[in-house]
Amino acid sequence: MDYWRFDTVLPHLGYLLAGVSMTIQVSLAAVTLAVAVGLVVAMLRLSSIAWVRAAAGLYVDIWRSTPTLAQLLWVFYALPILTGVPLSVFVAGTITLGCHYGAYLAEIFRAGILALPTGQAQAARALGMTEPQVLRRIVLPQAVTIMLPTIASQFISLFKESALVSMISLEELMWHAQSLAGFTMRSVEVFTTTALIYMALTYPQTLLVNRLHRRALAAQAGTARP
Amino acid sequence: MSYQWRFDVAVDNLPVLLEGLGHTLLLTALAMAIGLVVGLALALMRLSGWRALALPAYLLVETFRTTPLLVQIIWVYSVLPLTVGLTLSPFFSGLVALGLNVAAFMSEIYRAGITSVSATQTHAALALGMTRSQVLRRIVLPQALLRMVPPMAATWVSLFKDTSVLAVIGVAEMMTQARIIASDTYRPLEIYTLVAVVYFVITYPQSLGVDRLFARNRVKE
Amino acid sequence: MAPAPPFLRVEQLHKRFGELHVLRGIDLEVARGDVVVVIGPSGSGKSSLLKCLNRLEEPSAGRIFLDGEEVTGAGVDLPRLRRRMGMVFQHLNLFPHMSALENVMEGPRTVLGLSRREAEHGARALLDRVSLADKADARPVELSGGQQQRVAIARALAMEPAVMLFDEVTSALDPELVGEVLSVMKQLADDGMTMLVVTHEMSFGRRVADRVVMMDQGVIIEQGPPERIFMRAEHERTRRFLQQLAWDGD
Repeated sequence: MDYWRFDTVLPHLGYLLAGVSMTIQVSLAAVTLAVAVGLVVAMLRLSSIAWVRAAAGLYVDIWRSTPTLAQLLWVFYALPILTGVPLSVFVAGTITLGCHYGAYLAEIFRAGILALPTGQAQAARALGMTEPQVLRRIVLPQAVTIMLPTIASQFISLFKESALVSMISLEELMWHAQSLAGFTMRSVEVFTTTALIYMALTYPQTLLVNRLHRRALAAQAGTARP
Repeated sequence: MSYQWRFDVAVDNLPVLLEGLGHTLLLTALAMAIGLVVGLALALMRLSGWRALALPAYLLVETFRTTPLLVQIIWVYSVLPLTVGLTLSPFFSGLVALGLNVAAFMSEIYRAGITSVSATQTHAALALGMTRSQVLRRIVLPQALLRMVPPMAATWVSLFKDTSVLAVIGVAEMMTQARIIASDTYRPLEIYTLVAVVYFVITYPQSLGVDRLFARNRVKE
Repeated sequence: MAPAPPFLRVEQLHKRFGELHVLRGIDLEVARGDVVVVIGPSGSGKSSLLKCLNRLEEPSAGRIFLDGEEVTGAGVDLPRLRRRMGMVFQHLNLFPHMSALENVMEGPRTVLGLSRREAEHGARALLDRVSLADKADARPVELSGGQQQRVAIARALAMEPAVMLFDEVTSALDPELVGEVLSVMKQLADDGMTMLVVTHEMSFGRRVADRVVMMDQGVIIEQGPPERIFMRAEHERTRRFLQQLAWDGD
């Protein structure tokens, strides 16, 4: 009957917040890998060689049709057996999240590239711009504006899924929370506080995504055909 | 040095894995049902215009959208017994957490679908003398539901994969079984590969179906 | 003037959308059987006026009376009141997931509680009245704009309203489809329906209206019989508006 005693958690808040640093580190590392993977795979998907397209397509299908946790356990326990190279929990987490979200980003990039408005590019060429200039100054900025909200919302998902890496003992926020709950025997307060910390970190990101989304819509409206 | 693949280990344990799959499917179906009903209720609360309803619904939805599923599962599992005195089995705790999680995302899909129906439709129905509930039931929802099918199908596929996180509280679904077998047999490579293959085989066709639903909806619009 | 009290009475109606003061003290009286045509530039508040009458939009101030009963104010049974007022909108009128027949049946079935057979019987008769009996099973997307508007009129009539409100029902139509809709509306007027019509179709105003009301910036500039308004308008703004519409007063 004695719960909601947050004063029991307060002295340990620093311990919890120490986990946030690792959460952020692994998220940033993973998203960097994801963007790189996404770009490469998207390009491969647009290749003129059929088997390259198929292989890249298979990559995307596999990483999108299996659960992240299954992927994580495979990367951490199974892959080292194949390669003979043991992985730290941080690297395993980064690789898993990076390859997983890389697959999603590859689809977003591919759709974004395919949807580029050609009228704009033609107008730019008519003005006498070279191809690289057209790409750099007209096409890519617009493509990026349109894709940015989706990419950002993928980052939020990645950030939340970083909690899964606690299951192979990466000492990020969720791991610290479980540790602390065990130590203080105050699951209610600890996990509620942890949830609040995640909310505090994620909510501003969702506001940003909404703003990016509105900007993207405005940009598209400006170029809409009458 | 070459590794000795022991596929016989994988094949021997396949039945146990598939039993877990049965639980996975059951959890997916039940959580989806909860999500469909509770999600609609939450969406209606937010669209009602009454702060007393809209605010709690908003807070619930945002809470479940901004926290990791893992946190939600562990929270429900450890907090419910201590606060409400309700000790649920891992299966039911997991179901509650998953159900609420899906409901939160569903409520956003409902909201988008309902608000996409033109206001003139609502006006025309009200002008005929319909009550708000009649307008919703006979005019708005039927139109909204058609547009909501693709994102709902995508949610189903995500939900199926998310059941794997219930392994953290030991629910006897497929991921849990895989972990148990992998540690029992000391053959994580074969077992984790096998479970990945099973997930893939079940999920991939559904993903293709979802892609087709989205494409068909785009053509219709 | 009519000896009986006005059927529809609007008293000092105001409507604000935040800072925007869209209706600034409208006073209007409509007798039974009157056909009142409302004209004016965009933004004059004509559409808001109509929508306030059946409280699709909430008046900010003022009172509205239908057949002696107050429409505005708390505790009014809105669905019941709205049944007595039929409304046709500029576009997106029809329910796309129902056929034309089902659209017309919808009000009687859901609101009036008629049986399917009774509702269908009445609906077919109405579709016949607007010359669309052969399109009963068509979906709105299969109908032309003019046909959709006629079905919308039939649907409103199915509720047997005491007054019909038309909100620029031909403005979104291709020119060649306008005539068929106006013919239906003229027929309705000849049959004695009380009508409030917001329109840009001056020919309709001239031939069918009992009274023309000119609105601008939320107020009624002037009103009167069509011959006077169209040919000898008293106010400069009215004359200028009509000139802009290239009305040559033949």
